[in-house]
Amino acid sequence: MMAATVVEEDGFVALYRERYDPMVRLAYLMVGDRAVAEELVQDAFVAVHRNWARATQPSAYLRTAVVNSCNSWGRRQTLERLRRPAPPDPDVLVADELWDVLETLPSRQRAAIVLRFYEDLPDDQIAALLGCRVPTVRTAIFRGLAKLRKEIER
Amino acid sequence: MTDDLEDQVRATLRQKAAEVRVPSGDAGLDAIHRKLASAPAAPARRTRGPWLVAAAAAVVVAIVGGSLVARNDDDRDRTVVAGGGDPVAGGEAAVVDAVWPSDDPEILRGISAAWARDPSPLPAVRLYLQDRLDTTPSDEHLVVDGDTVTVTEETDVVVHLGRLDGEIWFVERATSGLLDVDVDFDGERVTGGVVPGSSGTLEISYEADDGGAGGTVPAQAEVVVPIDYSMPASDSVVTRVKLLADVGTVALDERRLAAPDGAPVPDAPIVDAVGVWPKGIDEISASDLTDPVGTAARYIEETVGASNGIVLSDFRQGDSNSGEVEVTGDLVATIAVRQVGGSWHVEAVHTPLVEARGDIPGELWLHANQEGVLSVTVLDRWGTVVRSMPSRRMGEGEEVVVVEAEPVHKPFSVRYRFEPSVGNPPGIGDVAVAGTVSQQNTGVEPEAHDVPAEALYAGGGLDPIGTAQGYIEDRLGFWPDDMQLSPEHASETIQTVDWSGGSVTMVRHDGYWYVIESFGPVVKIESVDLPRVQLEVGEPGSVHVQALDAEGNVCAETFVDVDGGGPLSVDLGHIPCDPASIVAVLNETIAERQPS
Repeated sequence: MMAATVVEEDGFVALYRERYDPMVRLAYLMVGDRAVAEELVQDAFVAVHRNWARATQPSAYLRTAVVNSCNSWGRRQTLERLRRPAPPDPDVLVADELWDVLETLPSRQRAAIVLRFYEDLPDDQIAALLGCRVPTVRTAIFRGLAKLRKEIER
Repeated sequence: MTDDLEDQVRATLRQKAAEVRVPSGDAGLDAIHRKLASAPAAPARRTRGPWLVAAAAAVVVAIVGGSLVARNDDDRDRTVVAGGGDPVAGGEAAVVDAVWPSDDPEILRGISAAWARDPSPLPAVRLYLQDRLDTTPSDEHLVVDGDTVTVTEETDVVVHLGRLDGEIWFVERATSGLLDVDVDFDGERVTGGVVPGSSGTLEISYEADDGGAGGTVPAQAEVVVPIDYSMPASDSVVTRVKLLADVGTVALDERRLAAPDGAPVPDAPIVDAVGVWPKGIDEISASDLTDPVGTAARYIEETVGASNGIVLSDFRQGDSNSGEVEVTGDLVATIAVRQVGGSWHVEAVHTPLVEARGDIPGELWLHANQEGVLSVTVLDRWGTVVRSMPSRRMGEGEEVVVVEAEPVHKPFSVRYRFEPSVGNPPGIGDVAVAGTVSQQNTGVEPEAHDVPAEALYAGGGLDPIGTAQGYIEDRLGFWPDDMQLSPEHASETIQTVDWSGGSVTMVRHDGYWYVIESFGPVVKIESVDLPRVQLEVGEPGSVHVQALDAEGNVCAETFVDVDGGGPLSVDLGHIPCDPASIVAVLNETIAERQPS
């Protein structure tokens, strides 16, 4: 059966109205670029739409798709940064220190911190979203916070 | 302090989220519907930035979006069927988004074996693991959670399943927390990498329309391994990456990847085994490479950066299609250029400060002609950095092996910069080495002589920092670049080197430094009473304890997950060797000592 034909459009629109803005904000915190965040969230909605019949919890499915696409995007950005290191902008560093340091964290650490301190998710749910073990989540948060502390105490 | 920081993080995130102004109304919904309507044909994109998003979408939709997904590549005569078996988009062939046992729905429907329609996914998973890893875990080591099955012992794999027609099991993909497989940013390659502490060997295979192939490459944590195949020529490729970790764990990642449309294609010649520049990622147009001096200037601009103070000579013709351009001023080098098909490229770069020797195919030594600091980067033909050796001090006449002959698979090049201690301005070099590349052997090779009994690691070196770096790379799989001599523990015979992951102490023996002790800020070996090891740990994570024999082989090991700091007693169980040292690794720090 075609996925598109079983989509309950009303349900999808309701999901959009309820979750689009929060997901864009979540994606923004993970990628640091509003336009990219919107693009990734829209793609996640496309994935949800196509799998509506199978998605027993569309909202959870949507969040997983958003987190994964943000992580995937972040890995690519890391590769690009490694090849083309950009000099830091001293004005920006002074203006918004914690946010700037947060943007330098590896994607998994950043995702774990955003999910813990913005989404207020417990470790086991973060682990499930990131596809790793609970101790790995705790380690990622610990090390991410350690780096934040080190940078802002400089 | 921690609570304060956490509050600050929480407040910053909420403030930043609140600043995001999402367009009101249904603009987003309209955009989603446009994407849905425009699928399957993805818009062609020629620039790198927007393409990144397209790539992310393609991968997410193909990998994350459930077992039966229409991908953004359906203009490639490939249609993925939904759970009921009907095509979701037009095309010539209907396939299931499966990696095992088949992507052909008719073949799947024709399977009469009991496992295919068993109410439980476990029989299918056991068969899959037997097929892929030659292992058959018992049911107690397989944890079912919806459409996924996790293997809990010896093998790090999560198997994701789907059911055709709601009844026939197939494997959609396999993933592992130890592996990171992704489409590279240029869209023409898949890359693989392993997480820190999981170095080993990657076995890579893939099944593409233009034939399957693969290879075996050494895997280092955080070093991206390019898995080359012709993505644009294949509509969908099953990529299988198996990690045989040094610690004995086997991990598997297997997935179907589709090449996004519109990957950027450079129109300049991409240098392969015959030269060093431009490479695949260099966005150089052929129109920039129409004369030899301009090509040399562009090379300097792209690889060194600012060209102020750098003087290029006129072109010195060699044979009819090649010659040299001399670099003087703030940089010392000779750039050899060659013309192929109307465009020039850089064939090699040499400096009189360093002599590059590659007498054996696949091997390269650099010999310092005066004292100075050498930095080296090893690049594959696409320009991916597969190895880097930051800032090594070398004495006059000293040699270092950058890569040592070891059959792997692709041509590569070695790009280096040498900063002399006195006299000359820096020199640069760029040398192509065809055929093999090693990502492992980078240390100063000592001449053969006795290793002191107290040494934990047989690799001695002339320079204490280089020796400690080689030791950490051997044990942890990465090259630490923040090491410095500790002024408090320095003498002619003993030296401690501090780095962000702890301290390494060495003794000098016959002129060479050898590691005798290592400890980290969050893991310390308090005592050893084999098979028990008493540790002090300082942060949560997975502690990995090994017993090594005199040759550095692992003869016993165990992993223990810890949620916090404090004393930890670890039992290594049966140890089938006489261990020369005990190693404890927590996250990216290491402690090592000899058994008392």
